[in-house]
Amino acid sequence: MTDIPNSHEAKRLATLQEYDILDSGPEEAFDRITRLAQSALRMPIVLVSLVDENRQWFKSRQGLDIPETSREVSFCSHTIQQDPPFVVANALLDDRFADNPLVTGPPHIRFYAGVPLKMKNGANIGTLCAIDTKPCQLTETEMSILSDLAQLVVDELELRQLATTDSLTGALTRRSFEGEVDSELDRSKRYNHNAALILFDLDRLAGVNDSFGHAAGDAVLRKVAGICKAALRTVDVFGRIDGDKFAILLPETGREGALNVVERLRQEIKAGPASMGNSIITITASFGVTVMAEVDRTGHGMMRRASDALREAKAGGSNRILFKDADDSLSEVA
Amino acid sequence: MSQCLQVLDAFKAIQRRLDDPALPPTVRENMEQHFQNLASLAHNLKELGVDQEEINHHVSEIYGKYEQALEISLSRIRAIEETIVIGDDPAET
Repeated sequence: MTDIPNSHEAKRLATLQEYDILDSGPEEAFDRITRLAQSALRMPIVLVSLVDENRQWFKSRQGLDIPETSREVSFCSHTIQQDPPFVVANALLDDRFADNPLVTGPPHIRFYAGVPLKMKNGANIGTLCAIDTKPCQLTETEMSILSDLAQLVVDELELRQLATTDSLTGALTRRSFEGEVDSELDRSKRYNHNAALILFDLDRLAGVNDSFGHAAGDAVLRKVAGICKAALRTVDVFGRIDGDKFAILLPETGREGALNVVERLRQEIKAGPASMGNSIITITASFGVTVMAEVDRTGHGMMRRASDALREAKAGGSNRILFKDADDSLSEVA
Repeated sequence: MSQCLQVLDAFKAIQRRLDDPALPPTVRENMEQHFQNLASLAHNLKELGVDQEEINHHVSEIYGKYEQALEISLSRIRAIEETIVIGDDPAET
């Protein structure tokens, strides 16, 4: 088996986390799809499998009693490494699977067909798969049905995700961002890692709306969100927490790393004007930055310090960066 | 294919929602995708020899569940959009 490059796997796992579906309860929306696949394809086992770091977990399962297996023995781990469906006609005759415990023991897999659940950002987070205990093949039409049903699973997952992201910019909503920050801080504490929080506000966006209309303001917001998304890592968390205010959490990042990111964003936002008809709109942003303190149990303290720093940055003009340390000391960076 | 699909209630329901100009763009995109995927499924089930009435039933059931999630997403998205205000920061004025 060819391993997924680390960067792809990190993106894939981050995407899976974003959908916040692992270990959730059974849902009829997915069970209807697996039941239909089971009856239409006459397959004893059909699963919606989500492939986590060390396991595959079944969001919906027909014909199988166990809720998860180790990733090591998972057929679906092969499926997510490619975009076309992955088919094993007879596992006993396939060197990759002949000694797999799911083949030599229960559920005695012989035939497997899996279609990746490919999300909007290109990450394959899992599969819809059909399994038989005897060797067989699916016709072209049957494979198309399995692919159609996989797409319907993706539609359902994407639809739920829409409510956690801002429809204009694609950034997380405030509530989702705060939830992500709390989870990430919890992880950072556990592994003794740093984390930094950036809060920034576009300078005089209300004036853009007044002069050029709301469509122009929206274009600026989309442009700025695009700049941020391009500059950030997969593991970074990006949210729109108010009209023209955005927030970024940088896991495993200290003061110096955070300030490098902020300075780059400040320059790129200033240098990347949005066009609106014949008009070119230039914009700047003001930034407040902080890092995680020993006392921070949730994101609340970091949000407060970053917000204080941002308020000071805006009060002193525009296009500025202020840093508020864990001990509440304030310093101007740019 | 289109003639037999037009009779499906689910497609009519999707079309009615797509006709709403206030539908958020991201939701519209998802619904259009869902429409195409359901249409493809209906077509392939028919190719497989599944009875039209049964196809209608399956498609309607899948869309019914999707529509429930759609309602929740729409109400959340609208609630978020209503709370977003541009330029309310006193420091800007």
